[in-house]
Amino acid sequence: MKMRRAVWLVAAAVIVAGAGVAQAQPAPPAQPPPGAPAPAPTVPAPAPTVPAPAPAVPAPAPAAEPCTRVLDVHAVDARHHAPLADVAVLVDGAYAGATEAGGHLLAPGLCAGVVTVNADRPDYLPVEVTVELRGDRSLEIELTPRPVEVVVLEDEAPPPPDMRATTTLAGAALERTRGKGLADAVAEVPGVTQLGSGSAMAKPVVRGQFGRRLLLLVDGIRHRAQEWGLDHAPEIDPFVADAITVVRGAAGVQYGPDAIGGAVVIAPPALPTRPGYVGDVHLVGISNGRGGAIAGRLQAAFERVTGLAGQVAGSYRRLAAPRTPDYPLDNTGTDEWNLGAAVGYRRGQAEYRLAYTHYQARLGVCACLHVESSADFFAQLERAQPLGVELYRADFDIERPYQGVGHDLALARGRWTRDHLGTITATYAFQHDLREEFDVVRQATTGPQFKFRLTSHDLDVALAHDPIHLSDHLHLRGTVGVVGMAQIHSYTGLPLVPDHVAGGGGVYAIERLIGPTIDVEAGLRYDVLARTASIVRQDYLRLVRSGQLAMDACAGGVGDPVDCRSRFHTVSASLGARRAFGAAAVKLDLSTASRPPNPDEQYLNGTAPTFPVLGLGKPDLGPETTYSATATVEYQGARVAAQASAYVNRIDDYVEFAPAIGADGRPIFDVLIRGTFPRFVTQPVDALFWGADGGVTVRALPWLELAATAAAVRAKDRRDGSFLAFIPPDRVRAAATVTGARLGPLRDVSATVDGTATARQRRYDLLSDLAPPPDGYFLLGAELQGTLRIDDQPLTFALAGQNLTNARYRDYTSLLRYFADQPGWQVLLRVTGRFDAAAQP
Amino acid sequence: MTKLRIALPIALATLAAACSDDGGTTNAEEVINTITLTLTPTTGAPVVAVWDDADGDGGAPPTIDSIGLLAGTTYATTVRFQNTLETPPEEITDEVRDEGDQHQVFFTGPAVNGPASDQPAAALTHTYGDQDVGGLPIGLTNTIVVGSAAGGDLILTLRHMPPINGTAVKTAAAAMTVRDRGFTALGGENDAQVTFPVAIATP
Repeated sequence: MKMRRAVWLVAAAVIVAGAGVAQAQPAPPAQPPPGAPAPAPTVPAPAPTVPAPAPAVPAPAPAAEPCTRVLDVHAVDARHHAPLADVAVLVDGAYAGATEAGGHLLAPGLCAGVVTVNADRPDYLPVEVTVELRGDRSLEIELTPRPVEVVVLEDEAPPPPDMRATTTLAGAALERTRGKGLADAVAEVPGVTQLGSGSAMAKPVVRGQFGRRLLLLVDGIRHRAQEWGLDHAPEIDPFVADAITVVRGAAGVQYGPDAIGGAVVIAPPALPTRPGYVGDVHLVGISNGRGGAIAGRLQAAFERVTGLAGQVAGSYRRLAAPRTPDYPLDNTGTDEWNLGAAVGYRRGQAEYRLAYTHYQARLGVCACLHVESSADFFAQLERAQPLGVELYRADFDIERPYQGVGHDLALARGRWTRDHLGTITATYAFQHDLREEFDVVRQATTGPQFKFRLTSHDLDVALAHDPIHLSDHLHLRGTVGVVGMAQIHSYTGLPLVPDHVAGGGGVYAIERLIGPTIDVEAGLRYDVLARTASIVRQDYLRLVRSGQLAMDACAGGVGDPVDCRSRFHTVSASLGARRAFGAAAVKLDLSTASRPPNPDEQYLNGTAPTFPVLGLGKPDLGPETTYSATATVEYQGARVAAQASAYVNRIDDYVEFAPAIGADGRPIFDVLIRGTFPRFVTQPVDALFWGADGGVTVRALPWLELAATAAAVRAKDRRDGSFLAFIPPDRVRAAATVTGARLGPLRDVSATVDGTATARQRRYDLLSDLAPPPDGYFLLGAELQGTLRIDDQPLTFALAGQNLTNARYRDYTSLLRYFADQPGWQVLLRVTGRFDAAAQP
Repeated sequence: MTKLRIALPIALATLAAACSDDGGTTNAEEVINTITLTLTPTTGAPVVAVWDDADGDGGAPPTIDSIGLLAGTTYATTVRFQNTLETPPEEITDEVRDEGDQHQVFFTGPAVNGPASDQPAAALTHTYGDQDVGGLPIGLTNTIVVGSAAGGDLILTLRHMPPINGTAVKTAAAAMTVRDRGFTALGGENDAQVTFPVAIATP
């Protein structure tokens, strides 16, 4: 169960409030979220509202010199100097273009002399400025929002581009993942894979980091759960998301010391601002599992109470055990539901949000997992099929062993904008996570064998200050914040981990210097975490006898339970730069962060259901510290979009869960009542991760889009050059999509064929991997999609096939690989309907 | 609104605290840490050998008694499984007997000849002395006949073989499977597998 190569995270830090919320990157072709104000057209028709200004002065008579002056226009919001995109700019009455996401527009080929510049965007008052051009010059234009009588319809300023490689799934890209689990949904992003242990139990892996070292952020709240266990899937329903952003690379300053590997930011849709109702319904049928999912969301903004809006959303997923090409994975059914509601209220410059979500799942563990004894486990590796496979069934029953998990998230958030100061965001979140694991037992034993309950309170206050004007073209934007956290963990069951209480806090500041083509960002963060683990005396003595702990290490070794106190001070820092070259940009990020050890890494004490090993923690572990450098190149052209990123990540005192080696240089085995088990311990090693990932999308023809992604990651123990376990093997994916066809009543019909090739992991250490990695494999997929419009409301149908060659394969990063194959081919039918009965603006 | 914003979290926290029921659970686990073999000769005092991991998995190594037997003697042999980590100790033997159709005790190792161990030259000859509801052996009650050969190790295994999808995994062939192909060819999982050294004295 809970063993694994330690990766996890912390308890102490909390999230940067607003920072996580608005991560919408410009990425894929996103549909506007229901209810969001329609974005301004990318290329506005020339000056919609401004009367085409007759230049006060006719265009100056050209001087003798050629007209080669360049005017660099920078459009910003007059209140907080956020850059404004899509502002139409006219120079001397001629349309010069619209500002890009960073608020910039270059108007070349101008003559020296006085020019008149008009700037306009529908939701702002038009501005006219007259400037004198002698040489090239830059001009900042401040626009003031139009006064609105009823409802404030205001786009949030787009977040500045991240200094790391990010990918956002939204709109159609997110739609394609509906019906899948969270880890599966983001696995198409380059550099992202999943660590699985059954059909529904999987967690995302970003650049080889997962669990404790990968932050999951839901609605701006750090997901606090039992993420350390290899077989613990995050208790998050991806249907809650309107956009999922994967931040690849250490993001410790912004998100806290647990974001060593990156972050997965799950953003629910914004509440509507126009009175009326909007919503969507998803139906997904899945052949391999003979089940499916249903999900729906209804949002409303109320006419009677201006500024009040709300939503209810829910989903239900039920699947039988899937089949591999040769046999069913007995007892791997899924029964999962999620229900939530949110209310928002905006008034003047204040905004409030209350939200609550409950997630509940019952997930079967494959009957093929045999970890009760080393001999059975290793004998299983030699078999092509699990023992007793003739009795396996692909049915809906979920019997022991299974996991029952529930998660509650409640949050209250207030956001206040103050003139001449900025925006203050305060968020309080309460989370309750209950995980129960039921093993195969005799009938006299009832209830779970492992029961974890984690209650967390997070408080986060952040101030995003108004940009400070250093010059016309140099601004300083930034956020400072404080976070606080309190947590209670209680555990009952077989000896494994102790109870603990923890409290912590942090302060951080991130400032970004925004220039015309270059941005520089620096951040600094300090966290403190205090934790008291209450170890049952019997377990404490066992740790002492195993040599992991001195008798007087905690509280003099007296009492029952024995209280072990730890306090960790950690510092995170980052320095990043982004330089734009027209449609291309280069980004560089240098980061350091320290992650305190998790209680399981310190005090683990027992055998684990996931592996036939005896696992022991190391109570005196210190924080692990990462130093990372990432370089990213991006290009966003009319026909080609590409991103490539390379990184190196050195982690000192990386907490690894690996075989214990005795004084004689040989692995240690312990005699337990169920036989002889290898001893695994958590230990600090010096690790080095490096790799590269990226993707390119090319619209080769108006109706044909080609896409490819690739990722490679390497990880070594720097002490002896040995390889770390569970590092995803190299992977490439290619897809071709034909778009724009019509098929009967269906419009926007598209057809995609995609292939994913995964290499065999050739870099491994048999001692900690327990078995050699499986062979590489190729998976073929296809999808046909089209939209029907009924009453002007879209209804989208999609038919998708996965593993169409019915390939027999095992996944290196799945615990299932020791026992059975991955599921075989399957077909999904997806129907998505959207309705919008809100007042049109 | 401000009041509501503060009041809700407090209410939720209070609710969560009120619902907390941890700490009182007992018997949720299924642990065996002590195995007692009692070998009673037809005449004379019983021999008792205990395999005891007093602090459970890990920590101090288990204490293991050697089984001292007399050559040429027949012993009525019973096996007892306990969880002495609980107070009072939990009797697992009864649970095994109650679910005899899913459990079987096997006697193997160099010192044993019997249904699960094909070693005619071994010192101990094992036969089952009990039956489950289906007439298959459980192995809580046995007969061990000691020959004149030298001792060696006796491996005692308790295998839990719950049915899969309603089909019994424990069959009449279980002991034969172990004898011919080993435990790894047998369904189910080990609840216990321990090794006792056996010493044989000549009377």
